[in-house]
Amino acid sequence: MVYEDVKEPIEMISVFRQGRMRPLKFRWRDRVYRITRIHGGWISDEGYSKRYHYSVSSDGPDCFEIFFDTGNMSWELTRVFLEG
Amino acid sequence: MDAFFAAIEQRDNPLLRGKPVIIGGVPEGRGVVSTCSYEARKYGVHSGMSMAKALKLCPHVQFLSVSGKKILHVSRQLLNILDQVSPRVQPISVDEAFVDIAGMDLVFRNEEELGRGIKSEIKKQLKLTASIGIAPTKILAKLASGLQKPDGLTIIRNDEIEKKIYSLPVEKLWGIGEKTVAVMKKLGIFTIGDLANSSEVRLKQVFGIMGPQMVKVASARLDSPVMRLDELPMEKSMGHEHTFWTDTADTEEILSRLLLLVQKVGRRLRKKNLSGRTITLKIRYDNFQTNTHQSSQSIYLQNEMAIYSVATRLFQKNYGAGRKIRLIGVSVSNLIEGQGTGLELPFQDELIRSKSDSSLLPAVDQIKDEFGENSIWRASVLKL
Repeated sequence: MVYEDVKEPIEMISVFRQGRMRPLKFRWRDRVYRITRIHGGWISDEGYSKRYHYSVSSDGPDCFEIFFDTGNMSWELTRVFLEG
Repeated sequence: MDAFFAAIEQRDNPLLRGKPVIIGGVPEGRGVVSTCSYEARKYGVHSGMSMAKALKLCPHVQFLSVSGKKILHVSRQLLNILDQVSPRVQPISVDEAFVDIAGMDLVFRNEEELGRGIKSEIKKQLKLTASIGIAPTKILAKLASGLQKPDGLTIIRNDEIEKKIYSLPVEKLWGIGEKTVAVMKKLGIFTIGDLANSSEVRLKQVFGIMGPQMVKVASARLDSPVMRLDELPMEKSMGHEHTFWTDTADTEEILSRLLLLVQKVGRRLRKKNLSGRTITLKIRYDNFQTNTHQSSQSIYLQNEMAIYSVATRLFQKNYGAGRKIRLIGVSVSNLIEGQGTGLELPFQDELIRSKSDSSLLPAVDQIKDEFGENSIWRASVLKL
């Protein structure tokens, strides 16, 4: 397994339901990834804003760490884990 | 918790499951193994081992850094679970806590049911495993929690102490370190039972006041109450230290790093509204020689530039110029509540008496509170 710190903004489609947020699909470097599994999530404080972090997988075995920042209402891809 | 940092990463990343994982940075770095997965432990890797040695033992291991904020989040979730069990929970690290279960027999049939209930709740909510020890005293409970890792539950009842723990090596007792063990072995004390049956008078002669206490702890005759965080005594010191990526003799870099460390200490002091009058500087050279230098002031300091001024003077007075430094650290002790007070002497360094930052620092704190810890820094540390 190899991993890379990315720290790039991504476009995300997510659903907000019953006070919870669920990321569904994101675009990174012109490719769309459908989120098939959320492995874990955690929240961090960044001053008055919060970041909702998720560890997710798409169709393949690769794993992505992403977060939603409530300060600027944007999503970011922080780390990518690739099999091999 | 079992291999806490590594287990969190394995939980959140299927590519890491079942594989040897080391948390603690990069293999070419200077650090040590913070935690490793049980798969890595099979190769002899353990916490505190240098990264280079760990890599030799387990060349295909996966090295990872972990976010401190993520660890704290899971740690808070863990404490929330334990708070549901008992009103008296005393965290002792991010992944360990004492829980006072006195009186719980009204709710649970026995200790085993209680222990299994806690483990199952942790597994359900956090998807992590924990090893639990239940015993008549805190130190024996801590010992018991380590006896059947991972995912263990060990119960030591009053009448089982001799049978279950007296044959264990004395170093298994929490707080008994290498140097104490070496002296004990010379005295013929090898097991917890040996210690429990030792003469308190004899051990007092060797270890001072701690001697009789160690005997009482080993025989479960000494305990302290489980204290909630808000009941714990005030911290005795606050400090930070930094290991450089490569050993350095660059004074500008060292002092910039020192300023960054002092800023962190100052922020913590202000958050807890504490001041201290003893500043300690720690320098570890490239040959691992470690020196600490202290200076006590007549006034209590909270202002970080005042602390930095004292620390810098300690550095300039004691640093062997040209020698490469591996680690630098600073701490403030002799703490009291409130802002700096005390006897101001006219011949003291102006910076120590300076109140120039007294209106600036609350503004800096406000910015950090609003925008995060990394939102504002002094310009001289930006290049670090």
